[in-house]
Amino acid sequence: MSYFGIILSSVFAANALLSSGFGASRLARGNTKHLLPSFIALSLFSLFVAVILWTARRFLFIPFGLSALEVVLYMSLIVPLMKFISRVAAQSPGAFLRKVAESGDELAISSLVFGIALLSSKASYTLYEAAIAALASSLGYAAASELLGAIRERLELSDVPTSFKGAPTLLLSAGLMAMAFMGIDAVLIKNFVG
Amino acid sequence: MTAIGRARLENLIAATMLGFLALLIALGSLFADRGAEAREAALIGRLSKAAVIKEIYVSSDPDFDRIFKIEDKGRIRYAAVVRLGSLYSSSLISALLSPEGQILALRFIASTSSRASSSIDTFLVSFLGRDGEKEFPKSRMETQRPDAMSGATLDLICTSATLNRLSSYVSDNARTWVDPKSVSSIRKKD
Amino acid sequence: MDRHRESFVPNPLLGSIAGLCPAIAVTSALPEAILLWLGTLVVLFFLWMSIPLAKNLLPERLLTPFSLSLMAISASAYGVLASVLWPLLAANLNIYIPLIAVNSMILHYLRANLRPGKNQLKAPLSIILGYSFSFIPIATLREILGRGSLSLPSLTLAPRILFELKEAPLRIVASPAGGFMILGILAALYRFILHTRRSARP
Repeated sequence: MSYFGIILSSVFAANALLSSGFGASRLARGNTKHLLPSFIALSLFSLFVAVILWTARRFLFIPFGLSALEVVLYMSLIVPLMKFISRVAAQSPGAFLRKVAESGDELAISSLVFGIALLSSKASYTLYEAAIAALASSLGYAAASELLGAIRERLELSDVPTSFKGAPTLLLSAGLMAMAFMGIDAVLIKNFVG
Repeated sequence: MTAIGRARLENLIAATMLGFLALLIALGSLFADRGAEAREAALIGRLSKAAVIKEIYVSSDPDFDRIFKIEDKGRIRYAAVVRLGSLYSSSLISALLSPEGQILALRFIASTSSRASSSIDTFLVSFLGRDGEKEFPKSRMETQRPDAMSGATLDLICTSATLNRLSSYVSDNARTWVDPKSVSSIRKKD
Repeated sequence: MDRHRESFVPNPLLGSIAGLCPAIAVTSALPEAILLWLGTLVVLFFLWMSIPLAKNLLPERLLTPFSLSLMAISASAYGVLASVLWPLLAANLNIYIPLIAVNSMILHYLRANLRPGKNQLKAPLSIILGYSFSFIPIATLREILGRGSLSLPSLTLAPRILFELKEAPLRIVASPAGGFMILGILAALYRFILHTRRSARP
């Protein structure tokens, strides 16, 4: 698949939120502050983890049959490294960089970053393709969560039954949006892009 | 002992405990991998009864873990156990390929649903004789041709994609696998 | 709150909306859902048993990173076990078994119990009950509606199919879109029942 096809596939057909459910808890609980810093932190960390996992899989885990150590590598080495990077960035004088660091610190131990990295590194991609897939998946998540955030704001002003207020309506909206995204599947992308 | 020394000792104890547990996991993973290899070799044996496994190459593809180089009546062939999956079912099949990547034989092994397309003989027959260059069908539009299979289903597209990846993988790598000094050759079986 | 009459535990899945990612992706089939549910339970119990031991050996500052590593190790161990016992189902679960190590429900349990001065870890019974009583029924419902069958994991390669309808009544339910919608409806139903019970109390 071409790079453009991988981008389209990662944003639409295999959207991190709407196809795999990553970050759904975060969205349903309303963690939508600092959108741009959060997106930048997510992209950078997903890219970083995807590259490390791809390299580790290619040269260490798969040749020696040690795939089970992937998650141990992530939690024992990569998460502390991400936390360390976030804490160093949090000391910077720039307010924007501090917001990115704050988002990064929160994202370090989350299924979102790990899930995107696993999806990107496990597919039959080369290193560059895995990196592009990770960045595109982050973009797809940000786009979906921003759309759902806008829907949530409109619904808060609407007359919704008490039981449906908050997370239930958001989940139903996500379901309808996921149905729309299902129409842009891998086959359609392949027809257009090859 | 100074505070720093004590902290370092505590860090070392924690790292040692985790290292020991990780080692146990690694050993377990190795055993599980060997077990999976033996199981796949047995399934390949059912596909091609007279075949002798010469080498095993690990694959990074999510749908097939290993490619077996086998000698079948003096001819070199490649075989793999492949997972075919769609949203509604997933199946396990074994595939026999030529060094050019042409699919010679397919055998259904198991499925999560008795309605999975791959459990129907005629479905798998449609992929025989295909190789990495001739993808069938390329798109849903192609299936509308009278001489092609009509009514493309999700199973058809997913199966086609997976078998094409397998076929391309074998045809791309077969040349390097023939050379015994190749770095792709990880384990040998005589 | 009248505790002895309260039969609903605050549900981690439908109430607090934690651990949602596997609930959407994996509950399209009951065998895979049972495997993942079992994995979550194994990790929770392993943490409950091992963290008090670690507290005696390690200082407070090392407890959190050590616990996270233990989560990863137990998830890996379960992944190895699942690949040996149920190879086809474990392969279907693919990336979701490693993701047990970052399950937000388990992380929430750790955060609540790793506070300084807390020596005894609260048994994760309420989490397990709440999770089980939502995760398994959702998977059952989604498999029957979305795939038109009901199956259980077995020690052979293929799962044991209990029954299979002629066709799936509502195929969209097996997709992630259907998963979101079913969860949304059940979360609303849970809130409605909770609200009704609280209003009914004098």
